[in-house]
Amino acid sequence: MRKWIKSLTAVALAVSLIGGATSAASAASTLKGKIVINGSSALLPLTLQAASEFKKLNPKVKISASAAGSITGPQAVRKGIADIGAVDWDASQDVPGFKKFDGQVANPVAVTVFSAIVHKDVKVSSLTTKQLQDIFSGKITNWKDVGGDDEDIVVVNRKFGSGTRVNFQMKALSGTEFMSKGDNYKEVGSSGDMKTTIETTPNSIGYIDLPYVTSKMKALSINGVAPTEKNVLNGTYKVWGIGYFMTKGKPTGATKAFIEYIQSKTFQNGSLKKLKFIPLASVK
Amino acid sequence: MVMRKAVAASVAAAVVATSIVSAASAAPAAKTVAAVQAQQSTFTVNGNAVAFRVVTKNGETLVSVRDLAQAIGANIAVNNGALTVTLNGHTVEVKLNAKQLTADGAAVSLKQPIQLVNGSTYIALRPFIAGLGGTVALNAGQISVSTVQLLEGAENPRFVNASTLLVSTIQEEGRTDYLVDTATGKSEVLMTSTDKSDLVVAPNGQQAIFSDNEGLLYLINLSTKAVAKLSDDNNIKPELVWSPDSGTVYFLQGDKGSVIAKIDVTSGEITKILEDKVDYKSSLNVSADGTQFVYAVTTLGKVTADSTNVDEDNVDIDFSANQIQIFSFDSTVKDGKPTQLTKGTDDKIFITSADGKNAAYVSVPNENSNAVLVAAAADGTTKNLYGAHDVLESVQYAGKLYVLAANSDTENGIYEVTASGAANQLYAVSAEVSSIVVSESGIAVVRDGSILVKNGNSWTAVTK
Repeated sequence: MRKWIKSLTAVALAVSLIGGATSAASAASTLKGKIVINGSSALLPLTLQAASEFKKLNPKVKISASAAGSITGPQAVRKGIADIGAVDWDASQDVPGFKKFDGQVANPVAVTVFSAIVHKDVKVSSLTTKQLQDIFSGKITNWKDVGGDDEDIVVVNRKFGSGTRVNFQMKALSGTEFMSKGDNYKEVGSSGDMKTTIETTPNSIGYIDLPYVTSKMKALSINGVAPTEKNVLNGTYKVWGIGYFMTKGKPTGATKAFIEYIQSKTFQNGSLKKLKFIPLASVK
Repeated sequence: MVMRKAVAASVAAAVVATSIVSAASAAPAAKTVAAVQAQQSTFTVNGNAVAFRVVTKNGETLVSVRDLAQAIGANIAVNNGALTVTLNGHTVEVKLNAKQLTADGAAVSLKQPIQLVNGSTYIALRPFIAGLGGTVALNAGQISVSTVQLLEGAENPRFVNASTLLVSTIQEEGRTDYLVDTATGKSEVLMTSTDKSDLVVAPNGQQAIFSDNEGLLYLINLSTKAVAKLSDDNNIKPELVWSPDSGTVYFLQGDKGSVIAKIDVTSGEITKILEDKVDYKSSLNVSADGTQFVYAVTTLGKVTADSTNVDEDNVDIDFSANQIQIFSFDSTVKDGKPTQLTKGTDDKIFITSADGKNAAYVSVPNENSNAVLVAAAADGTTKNLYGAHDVLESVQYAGKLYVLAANSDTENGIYEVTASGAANQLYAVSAEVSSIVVSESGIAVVRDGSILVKNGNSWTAVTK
C-alpha cells in the first residue's frame, strides 16, 4: 500500500511538472526506467547537463546519451533503438532535404543560435546574406572579394544530416544550395569537428551553434547584426532554431518526466542559460 | 515606532472605553475576572525575547492582546465594541467576553472567554496567533511565536553562516535569491536576475560567485549586496568550486567542461590546470591546498550511421562505451596524467572528494537495486561504505560523509558515515525529505518543497 502511495507521488510530480510550476526541490522520487537519447551534437551539452541534474532527483532512471548529427535522432527513434531523438529542427514536419517522420512528436527543449564563424586571423567581421550565399555556393572564392586579405577561402561544411546545416541553410542562406566539392572545401561530421577545423585551418569559414564559439575563432555578424542572445531576443538576428526531443507518440514514464524537467522553468532559467542556450519562453 | 506607540495608547484607551460598556451589559463575567492578576512572562517573538502581561484562567494562560499586537507589529482598530487586528493580510476580530474569535471571517471557538483585566483585553495565545497566519511552538521550554511570512517554493539552500541561508525562487523569466534567517525564516532579497547562474557561496560566507549567460564571472558581497565583475573571459563555465580559504575559484571550462582552470578572486587572473582534450568532465572536487582534483568523465555511446538514404535508418548505437568514470589529477606532477579511479559500468552520482585523491559516490547498479555509497581509493580499489538502506543522496563536509537514506516507506535517515564504513544515524526524518545540506554552519533539509533548519532539538521551517 505504501509503495503504491509512493509511486503515486512520482506520478503526481510528473503531472504537476506539465504546468512548469513545480520546483526542483520536490519530494524524493521513486521513478524508474531507462532513457536512450541520440541525435544532435549541438544539443548534447544541454542533454548531458539535464541528465546529470535529473539523475540526482531520480537516481533509478538510467540515461544513455550519444550524438552523431540530428537526422540520426529521429531515425534511431523510428528504428526503436532510442527513446528520444535530439534534433535541431521539427522532424515531424518536412524541411529542406528531409521528409517528416510520421508518428513522432516534437517536444521543444531549447532555442539554439547559429553563427557563421571564421578562423581568428580572417580580417572580415561581417558578411551580408548575399556574400554568405556566394561563399558557401563557391561563387566567391577569395577573401579579398569581401573586404579581406588576398587569400583563398576554405569552406567547411557539415555533412548532410546535420541539424546545424539545415538551420544554417534555411536561415542564413535563405535556402540556397551549398557547394559540394573542391580543393578548398571540407565536410565535417560534428560540431566538435567543425570547431577544431576552424580553429586550426587558416582562411576557413564555417558555421556552428553559439555555445561552441571559442576565443580561437571569430563569430561573424550577418548583415551587420552580431550573433548574440540579445539580438535574437530583440528580433534582429534571425539565424536561430528550436531544438526538439522527438518521441514515438507522446512521451510516457521516465522519458516524459525527463522532457518535462528540461522544459521546467528551473532548468530553462538555470543551466540552460549557463550553457548559452536561450529559454523557449523567451522567443514565444 | 513612536507613531505606533501613540496608536497603541489610543487603542488601549478605546479598549477601556469599550470594556466599560460591555462590562455593564455583562456584569457576571466582569465579577469573576476581578480576582485575576496580570503577571509578566517572556516569549520568543520572531527570534526576539519579549515580555508580555499574562493572566491564568482555569489553568490556561491568556496574553494581553495589546502586548501581542505590538510585538508582532499588527494593526488594531475598534469597531462597535470589537477589536479588529490585522497582520499580513489576515484579520482577527475579538469581542470581550466572547468564547470565540473570528479569523478571516470564520469563527474559532476558545476554551476561555476573552477577558478584561485591569483595563486590558486578554486572549488565548495560540488561536489568536494562528488566526493571524502565525505559529506558536515550544522550543527548549520557551514559547516561541512566529508571524514571519515564509518564502514559498524556495529551493537550493546554501549556508552563508549559522544564522543565514541563501535560497532561490524560480520565476518564468528568471530567479530571485534571498537571504533567510535560520532562526525565524525572515527573508530579504539579495539579487534578482534573468541571465545569471546559481550563486556559489564562499566558505567564509562573505561573497558568492556566479557567471552570466555570456560566461563572464561576477562576485556579490553578501553583506552589502554589491556586485562586481571579476572576469571578462567568456568561456562557458558549467561548474564553479571555491577553495577552502575563499581566495580561489576552480572551474570547468567550455560547453563540454573539457578544461579545469582556476581564477584568483582578488586579481581575476585565470590559470589553466588541466587541458587533456577529454570532454564532459563534471562533479569537480578540489583538495584544500588546491593541487589535487577529483572529477567525473562521461563517455558517450558510439554511433555508426550512414545518412545517404535517410529512409533506411542505417543507424546503430553501441552503449557499452556510455559510462561515467571517476578520475583524479595531481597538478604538482609536471606533465602528469589523470588517474582513473573507477571501472564499473554502474551509474555514479553525488561524487565527492575531500582530498582530491580518494572519492566517494553513490552507485546505482540498476533500477531495481538499492543505491549504495561507495569509496573509490587512490589505488583504484572500491569499497561499499553504506548500503543498509537505499541511498538517496550523499554530501561531503570537512572530510565526513553524510547520507540521506530511505529507512522505510515513511521514514528517511540522515547518517554520518566514516571512511571505514561505520554509519551513525544522526536524525530520523520524514520520507518526504529529498535533500540535505551540511556545513560548518549547520544542517538543513528540503522536505516536500519546504526548507527546514536544525535548531537545537527541532527542525525549523524557514520556507514553505
